[in-house]
Amino acid sequence: MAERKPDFMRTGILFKLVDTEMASTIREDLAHQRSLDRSEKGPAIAALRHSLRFIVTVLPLFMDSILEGLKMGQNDIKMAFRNFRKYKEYSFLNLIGLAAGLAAFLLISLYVQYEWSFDKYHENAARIFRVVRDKSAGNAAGSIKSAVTPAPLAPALVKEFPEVVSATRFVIVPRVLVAQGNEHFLEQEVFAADPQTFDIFSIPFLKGDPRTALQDPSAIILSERTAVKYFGHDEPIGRVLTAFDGSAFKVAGVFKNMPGNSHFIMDVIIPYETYFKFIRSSTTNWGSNFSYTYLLMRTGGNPQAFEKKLDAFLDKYMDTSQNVPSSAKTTLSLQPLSKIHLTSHRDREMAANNDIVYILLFSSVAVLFLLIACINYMNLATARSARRGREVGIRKVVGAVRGQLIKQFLSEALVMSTLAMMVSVIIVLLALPAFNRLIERHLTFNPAADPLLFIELIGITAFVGLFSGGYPALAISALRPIAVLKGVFAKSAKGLALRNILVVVQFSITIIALVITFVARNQMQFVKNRDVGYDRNQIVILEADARAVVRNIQAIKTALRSYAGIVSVATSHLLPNNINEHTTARWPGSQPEEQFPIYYNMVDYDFADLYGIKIVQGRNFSREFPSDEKGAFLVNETAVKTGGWASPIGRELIHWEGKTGKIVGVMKDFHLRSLHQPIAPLYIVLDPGRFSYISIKIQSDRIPEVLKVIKSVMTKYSPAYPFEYTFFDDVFARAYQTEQRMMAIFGMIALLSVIVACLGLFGLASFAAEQRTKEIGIRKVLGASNAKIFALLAREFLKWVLLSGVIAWPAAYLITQKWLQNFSYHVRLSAGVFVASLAVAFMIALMTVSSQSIKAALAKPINSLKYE
Amino acid sequence: MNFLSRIEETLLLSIWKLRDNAYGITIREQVEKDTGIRWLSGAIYAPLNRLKKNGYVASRPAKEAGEYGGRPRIYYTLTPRGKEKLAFLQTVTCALWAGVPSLRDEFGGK
Repeated sequence: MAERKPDFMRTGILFKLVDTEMASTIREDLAHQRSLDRSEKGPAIAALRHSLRFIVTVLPLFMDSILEGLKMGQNDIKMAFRNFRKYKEYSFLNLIGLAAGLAAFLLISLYVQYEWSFDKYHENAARIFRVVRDKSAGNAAGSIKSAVTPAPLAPALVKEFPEVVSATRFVIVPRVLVAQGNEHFLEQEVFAADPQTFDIFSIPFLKGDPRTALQDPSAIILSERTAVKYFGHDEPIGRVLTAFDGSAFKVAGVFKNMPGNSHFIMDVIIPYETYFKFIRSSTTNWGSNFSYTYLLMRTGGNPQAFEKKLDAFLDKYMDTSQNVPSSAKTTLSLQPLSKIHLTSHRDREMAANNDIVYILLFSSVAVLFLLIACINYMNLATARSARRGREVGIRKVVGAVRGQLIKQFLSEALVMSTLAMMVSVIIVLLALPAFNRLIERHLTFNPAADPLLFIELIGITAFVGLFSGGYPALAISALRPIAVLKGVFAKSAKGLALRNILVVVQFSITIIALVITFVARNQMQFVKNRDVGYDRNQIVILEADARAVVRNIQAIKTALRSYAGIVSVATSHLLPNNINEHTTARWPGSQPEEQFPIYYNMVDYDFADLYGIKIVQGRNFSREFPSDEKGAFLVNETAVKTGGWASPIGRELIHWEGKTGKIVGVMKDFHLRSLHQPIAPLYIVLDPGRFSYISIKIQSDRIPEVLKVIKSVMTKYSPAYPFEYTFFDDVFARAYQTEQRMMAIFGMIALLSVIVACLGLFGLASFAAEQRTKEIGIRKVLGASNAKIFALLAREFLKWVLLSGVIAWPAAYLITQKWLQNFSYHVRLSAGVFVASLAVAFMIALMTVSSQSIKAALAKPINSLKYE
Repeated sequence: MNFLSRIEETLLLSIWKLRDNAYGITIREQVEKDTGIRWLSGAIYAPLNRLKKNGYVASRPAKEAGEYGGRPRIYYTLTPRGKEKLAFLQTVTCALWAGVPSLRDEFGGK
């Protein structure tokens, strides 16, 4: 018969829910209906309807059985609370341990989830790509990876490839002074963008029409918060703002503030073409790169196949234009939008991106925390089997079956995990503001308003309860009544070994976290103290925003220098710690294969002196050599080496704008970017009129006065601009923000894991002391000293802590070694760090164990021996 | 005495009416015939299971093998407790309807 092919899974489910006879009845009826269906509708439909019918039959039965289970569980829950009350200290320890572990897990998961969510909210996220540019070197090692591309790229891509639905370009204009009537605001970032932006990205408009808003060349679009900043609650549409030296812009749209999990956040947008008119630059120049290009791929388009066509595409467009020489080959590639935040680390990123390595590391730490917390529970619960064993024995004698006992212990664990979850939710709510400050994010946590999160929390609670309660429930319920009632238990080698393993696992994790924290600290210390090749202290940085400042720079410099507290003043296009613009090293008559990528900076006569950059060959720029004015270069040692120049002094170079000049000196290598990157070839060219930064070296003992003087000079020349300054060492430190943050998080993790591990150890030590009360009493009667007893008890645990060190070291070594590879220049891993971590863990463990062991050792034997 | 849910009451009644011939398929068909509605199996068997657990209904397997899969068919009968319940329900239902003029002619029965 066809029915001989019963589906075992389904029947299995049925047998779980009802007894055999009811199952038979149901199966018979279902088979009957199926055979009716078969003769009417054919076997395929019959089978389908059979499956559906099975499901709708089982569901109500399932609901019934759940309701019943809940009714039965009430008693277990009552028992659980009674037990908590009876063993207050133990329960409290357990609760705190679980709650701390859960809180750490929740906080880290929130952070990790948030980092993963970057840019995924765009409706088309899966089809949006950023086009980025690599420039490989002709004869030198290492290519330059940049996030910016030429302006004509986006339109050309749309024209050339049918699979590109749309493309847009951004230029980020830093520090723009925007005026509304008499009020001035300095906008940190103004985006110049194409109208297509709103086809590609999901940026909902509150006012205005996204399709037409950017069509008008004098349009300006604001985010909601910016509109409120300028116009309060008045209607912003049609109002006028002025920027870029008096040009008028009409507000054409207001869009919803972009969420924080975006790799770029726009607040003020002007038309792309308009901006190019302001800077008198052409949007058809393939040689200058400062636009970000995003494209929207057709549904079903294949990005890999598309990427392969880009080489030929570039040959077609780029080689025809004048400014691109060389074997320094340029290639384009695509970055999926949602991967940019975690995986892209190029020159000129729009914001400091995170690193997926940290995210993976944090994810594993979060899971480990959950495990540690569960392990703690198991540990304490099994250690307690001595006490609960008697209860189990009695229960069994009066007829409890094992299943009932298992259910009882599981209920206890579930009640505990529910309480712990409540406590941890409170901890998270309290700690979130501080945590947000630490990681510089705005995470939110509101389970009451977020049903999904609520369900997740319930799921975690259930997992923790079942997982941590499972082993103890099985172990304790298996105790034999005769044995436990006679008082023989807990000494089983298996239970002891397991508990010791758990201690080892916990302390291993703690030690790993400690090692990572220490190594990260060392590395940050190393970064801070490393001789990077330039001075960092007592330098005030001003950003030159106003044209008036640029025009009057000589007067400003003279005015500043005339004050005694100011040592010197220099201007430069970029600051020495972050020279991120590059070109190709060319000289008259250079062959393509001789050329190589080179970073550049434009500076004035005083730059090298002010920053204490050493000249190892030749001389610095000097006013005594009038020829310097027409074109003079300083190159670094790496450039000399890369170019293979035997005598660099006097060689000619061509600046990217076409200016030719002689190399007058060679600079000692300094770190022109952060210590993550190796030192690359660099030239600096004398060009006192082109600068964005003014660096002012001051005397440290008169900082407030000096700042006042600088302010008065600057406001004289650019009255509209708010006076802002930073210290160069702060600018320098900003490059290591991600690491600083990571270090802070790991410090927190180490602290929490120490707390959780200690709680566990404390519980174990107190139980061990309790179990051995009689033994200790006898030993003391026989003449053991307090110290000996203490050593006996402490040794038991501390040897496992030492073993954890041995296990943790290799793992910690691998992780930290890998992390340090992020830096081209890093500390060497020293044994000291590892020893110190173990020592810290050991000391803490010792303290934890001591309190209990000392108590046990000092107890009077008379009390312990008569405790029955 | 407690009431049963309407479907439980209907099931008890159907089993009583079927006498010796009450098993899964006939019970469902009886309910469908009496109520005039197609019933999902789940709506029948979950309440039937409850009735059995609460001791209103007893089950016993047939002597010979059944039609589907060769397993013996399971027959259901009312326990004394079930009969008592059904009698109680009959009393209440009759009392509720006593003296109510027929509504069927005016509002339709189905």
